[in-house]
Amino acid sequence: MAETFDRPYPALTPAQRLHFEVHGYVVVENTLSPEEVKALKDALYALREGINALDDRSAGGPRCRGAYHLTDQPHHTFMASIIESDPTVTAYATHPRLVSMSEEIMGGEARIVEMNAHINSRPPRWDLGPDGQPRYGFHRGADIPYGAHTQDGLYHCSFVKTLTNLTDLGPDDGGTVVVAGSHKVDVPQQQILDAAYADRSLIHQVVAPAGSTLLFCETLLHATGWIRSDSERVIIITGYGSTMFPYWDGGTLSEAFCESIPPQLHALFHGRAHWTRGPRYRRLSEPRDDRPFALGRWDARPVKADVSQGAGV
Amino acid sequence: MPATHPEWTFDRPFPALTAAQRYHFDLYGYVIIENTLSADEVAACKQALYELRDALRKLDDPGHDGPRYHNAYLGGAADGHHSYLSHILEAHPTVTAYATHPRLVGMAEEIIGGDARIVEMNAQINRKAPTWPADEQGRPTYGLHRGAAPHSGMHMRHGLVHCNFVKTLTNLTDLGPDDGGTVVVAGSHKIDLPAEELIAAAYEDRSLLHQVVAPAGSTLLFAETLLHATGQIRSDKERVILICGYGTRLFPYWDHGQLSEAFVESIPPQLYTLFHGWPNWVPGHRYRQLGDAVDERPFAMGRWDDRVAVKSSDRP
Repeated sequence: MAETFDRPYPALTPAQRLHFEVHGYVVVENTLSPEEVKALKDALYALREGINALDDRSAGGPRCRGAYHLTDQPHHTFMASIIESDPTVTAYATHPRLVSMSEEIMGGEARIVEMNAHINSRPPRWDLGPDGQPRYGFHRGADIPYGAHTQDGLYHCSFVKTLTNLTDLGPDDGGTVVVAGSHKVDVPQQQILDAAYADRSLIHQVVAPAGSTLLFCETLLHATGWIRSDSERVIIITGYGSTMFPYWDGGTLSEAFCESIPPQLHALFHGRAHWTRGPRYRRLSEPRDDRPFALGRWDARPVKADVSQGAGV
Repeated sequence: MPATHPEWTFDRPFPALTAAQRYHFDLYGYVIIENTLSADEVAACKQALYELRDALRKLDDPGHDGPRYHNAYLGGAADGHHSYLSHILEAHPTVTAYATHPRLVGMAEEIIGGDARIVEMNAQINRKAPTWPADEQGRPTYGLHRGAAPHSGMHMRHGLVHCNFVKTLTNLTDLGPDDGGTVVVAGSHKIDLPAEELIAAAYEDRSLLHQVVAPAGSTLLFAETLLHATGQIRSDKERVILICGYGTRLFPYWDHGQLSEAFVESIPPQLYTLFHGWPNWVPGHRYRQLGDAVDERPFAMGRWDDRVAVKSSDRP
């Protein structure tokens, strides 16, 4: 029998699942403890220094433990392909509750498809519309007809992200902005944006204490928010896709790292070369599995027999 | 791995189906296109498969753990009446030519709604079995199955149904009603219910079971959400079919093996995505309208490594 790792199911409360259903996102507070937040922040700052020390910090350079700068500006560092850059970072990507939250939205087993982090502060300038209000770089990574499906009355998406802020985010601190409900609206993107800019109550922004996770589907229009305060924003992001999906993060995992992946995490890191996708669907009314799961060590996740996932189409 | 979408692809028709063929597919989950291969092409494919079967039979272990023959192996029960040749993509240039046939790829992509990647390839050579399953009334039953679920494998665009896992199954022998043509539960590609319920309903009203009856060189194009099975051969004829599975370009190759290094080196740039897929979240969408006229340009099976290269941006 195949092995997997123990994780909660369902991972969301009915209220959290309904919030996601309506808006295409939900913010779950306290997914990380203050100690875990600090450990991750320390790891990301150290990684930034490591990349900064390179002659070529880009994807084509020597890289720092696989990672590089996708954006390299004084006010904004976007570090990509960070999955194996630090054990704490890897622990975030394999956090049992975060993985399971994503799987619940996907309706099946997850594979890590990308991982990155942003450290940014107030930009020298920001794009404003004719109304003097901020504009954003809204985008989506999956289109609705192809990327989404409905089962048991609930919406699912094959590409999901967990974005956790490691600094407190007030209204002026550049939290991610989304066009609420756009995950279900299959019309040209510009039409949605025109409507949202006309009625800004449709644009929601993450305002949450450090250690909160924005869980959203990539059919949702989303963008980085505008930092107007003096606070620095640090976020860490993992992208999860169906097990059939490839890893597309500008690189492949190193041989040494692959050798260190325990069997119970095989599907999470490597996916499955098969047409089955490990379908698993919750009912809205099912209570959340409240067992506590800490960030812990990524290579010491408790093993569980894979009885419920891996089969079926 | 190129950092951006390949500059080159290969010329293939779009749309590859007539409006009537596309409508038939939408209604039933399959369509049979006759004359996709010429008589000479059928003979060449059949010859290649017989040679391959003979070579595999000579191996001490013809299974997937054995030494293999050009990476191919015999899957399933290699008994006297049925040879299932698996992972045959690089086993013979003619077989590879089938998998890269511009019209067949174009047909599959039309159902996928975007760029295709080859995900599996196999062939079957079978004869009348000693026994066949039957229900209490003695009517035949089948191993009906599907490889994708309607809710997650299908999507709609322009009012037409699309599936991310599609097969082209071409019969290289004539198939009459007693010759074991593939059986399907018509329309099951859209019905998101447990397979057992659909199968029970189809056995109750057997008009819902459709069977391929077609001359050699015909292609059954179907979505893997469609319940399908091998038919029962009751004649004395041998049945030879060649199958290629195509998925969206995000999908992996899942055919119990990797392509050999030598073969990979021989893949021309214009076939890169078809053989390797594309590690990106963009599935390379392309959708027709039902009323779009079929691209009628002739495309022969030809040589697989000599497909006409076109700039991706210049595709018709």
